[in-house]
Amino acid sequence: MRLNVIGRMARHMREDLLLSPIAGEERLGVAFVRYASSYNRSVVVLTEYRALPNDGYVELVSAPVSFDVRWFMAEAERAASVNAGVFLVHLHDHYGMPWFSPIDMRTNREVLLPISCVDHTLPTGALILSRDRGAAVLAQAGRLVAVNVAEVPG
Amino acid sequence: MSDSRLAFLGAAGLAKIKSLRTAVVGAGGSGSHLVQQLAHLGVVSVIIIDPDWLERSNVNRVVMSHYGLVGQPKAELLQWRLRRLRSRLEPIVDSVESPDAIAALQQCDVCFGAVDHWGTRHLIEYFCRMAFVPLIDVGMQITPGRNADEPPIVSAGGQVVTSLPCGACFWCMEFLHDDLITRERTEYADGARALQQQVVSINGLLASQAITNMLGLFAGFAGAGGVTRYISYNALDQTMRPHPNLLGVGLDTCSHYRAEGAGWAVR
Repeated sequence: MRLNVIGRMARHMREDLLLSPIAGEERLGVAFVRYASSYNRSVVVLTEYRALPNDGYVELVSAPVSFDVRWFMAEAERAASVNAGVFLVHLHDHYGMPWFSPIDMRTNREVLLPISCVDHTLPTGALILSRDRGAAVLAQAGRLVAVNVAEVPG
Repeated sequence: MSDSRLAFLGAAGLAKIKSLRTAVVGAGGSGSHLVQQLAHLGVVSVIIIDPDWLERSNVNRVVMSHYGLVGQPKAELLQWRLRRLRSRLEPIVDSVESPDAIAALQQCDVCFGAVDHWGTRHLIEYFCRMAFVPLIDVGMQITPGRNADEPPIVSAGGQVVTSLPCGACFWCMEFLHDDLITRERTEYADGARALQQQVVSINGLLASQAITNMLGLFAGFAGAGGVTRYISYNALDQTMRPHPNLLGVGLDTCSHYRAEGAGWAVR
């Protein structure tokens, strides 16, 4: 599996995700993602990015995740209306290959897997960026599959 | 195989080039040069897409072919001839519109178009844009004089056009336009499509420029302005220069293929 992200879109996401986090949390965004074609379920493309609005963050002590899941669900619904799935996006501030923390993976399992069951024809997953690389997971048949992230010229 | 002569690319650039998955659509005059150079560079994967078999009339321009290979699929003969180099060569003996070809092409880091038809160029760019795959197209045209009043060769040359995801496309650069495609369709319908004139030397020159563009995109082997998106070659005055259509074209935007529209948008 491979996720293609245009270089300029990756730069835009990094600039946004590096902004001062709200209430000490990691800044989050959502990306719209589509399969490359009806013939090709092994390549997905990232077509749009939206930052989580400031009032979308919640206190981690009182909730299982640090963001308002209703916002994510609304974005997933909007994405589905244009035949796109959603990837939750955040950044770890370092160079080199990033990976999801144990808390990230718990969120991926608890939030993404149920959403992926709503419409399994749409790609649902999570993207983690560092300052120069990226990694992703895609929900497939009830489990998370690692995805190579390719930043393409453009 | 020693890489010492590629040290100018730097360790990171060289590693990037070797890791590239590439596709070449068309295994004829230009495509055979492209495949040969990609294999010599040692890119990890070269997918060769061409539905045609080698004919006797092709041997004068399909490099690495010979008369003993007439009747073989062009894509398979290139794979066989280059099998001892390090690249993994995967022939697809089918049209670029076939599901296998589309799926393979969309899994690549870069695609090369080396086809004769304008309509096919349009399709290849469409499939690439849907998957954010950069496309480098190579083409040549020779126009012979039609009567005694015209010189024996009216024009000869070609172009290398680079189409990057969400940047100026073939249509933005007016490399493709409706008249070309309509005229081509009409000529086919009327059976009036003239055989394209080709010569191995110009095919080789343009293919070499296309590979150099790839080095520019992925290994930083380009000047401050980056890769020139539309390069035209005039064989009669032996010049290669940026095409005048680039003047006034916004290279970082495209009104025909937007990022939001990429991928399989229609169920």
